[in-house]
Amino acid sequence: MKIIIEETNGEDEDEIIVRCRQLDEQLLQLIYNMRMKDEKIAGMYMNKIYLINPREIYYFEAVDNKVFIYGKDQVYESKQKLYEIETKFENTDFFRASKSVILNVAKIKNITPAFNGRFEALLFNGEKVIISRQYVSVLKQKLGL
Amino acid sequence: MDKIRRIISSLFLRFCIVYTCISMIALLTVSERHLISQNIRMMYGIMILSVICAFGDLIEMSCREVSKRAALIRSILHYLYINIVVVSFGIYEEWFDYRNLMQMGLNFLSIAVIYWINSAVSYRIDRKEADQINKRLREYQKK
Repeated sequence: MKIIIEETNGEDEDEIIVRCRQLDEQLLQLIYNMRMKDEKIAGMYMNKIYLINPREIYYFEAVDNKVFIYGKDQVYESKQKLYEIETKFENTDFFRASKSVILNVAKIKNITPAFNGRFEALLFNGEKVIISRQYVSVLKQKLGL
Repeated sequence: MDKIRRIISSLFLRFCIVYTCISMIALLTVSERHLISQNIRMMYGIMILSVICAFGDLIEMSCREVSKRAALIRSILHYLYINIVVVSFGIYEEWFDYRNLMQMGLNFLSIAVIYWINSAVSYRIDRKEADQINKRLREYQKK
């Protein structure tokens, strides 16, 4: 892959143009990584606001009209709605796992079939999250299956 | 479209499993004389019963997301539906005598076995899908 870096003196915003014959998995991953690096999400913990790196997030969950951000062993509250988070992290490692959960693919250790056609994801921190039948296809699509 | 295809293939799979199992049980339990005299009628009867049982799967399917409790209730309702349908159809077709408790007990046992086979096949299919996802997941995370 050829990489060209062009320095300009203008005041325009920095931009990256990907010129390719076809967007393959490698390129998509590269784009996801760049997007993930820039994005930070605010979460509240013990009345303090923290800016969290999405790479550290295991999943987002909506409970009683509140959205929580789950890290390895810490839970933050977010002021954003789940659909806003879904849009913000579209085409990244995050995907909708159920009506109330957005899950980080990078944090899934393995998947096992659960009751009634659903799947259960075991995360690297030992937590288990349900993936609804109707969202399994989203995960499979993300993994290129 | 994909959803409809999935539902149809699921119903067809159920039909095949139920039809095969009921046919085998019928061959083992129904007397030879009965089989000779009502062979064709019984074959169609089993087929119709298998279709009705397969449609019972719709009880467990849902467009909405259901909780673990609701899923369990749906499974129980599905199991009850299968029992009611099979026993009613069997009595109507005079496959068995409802006054014969031993025979009724065997029927309920047969239903339980078929239900278990059905669930085991579904689990196996899901297991295969999960293995495929896990394999791809490891490759994805290595990148």
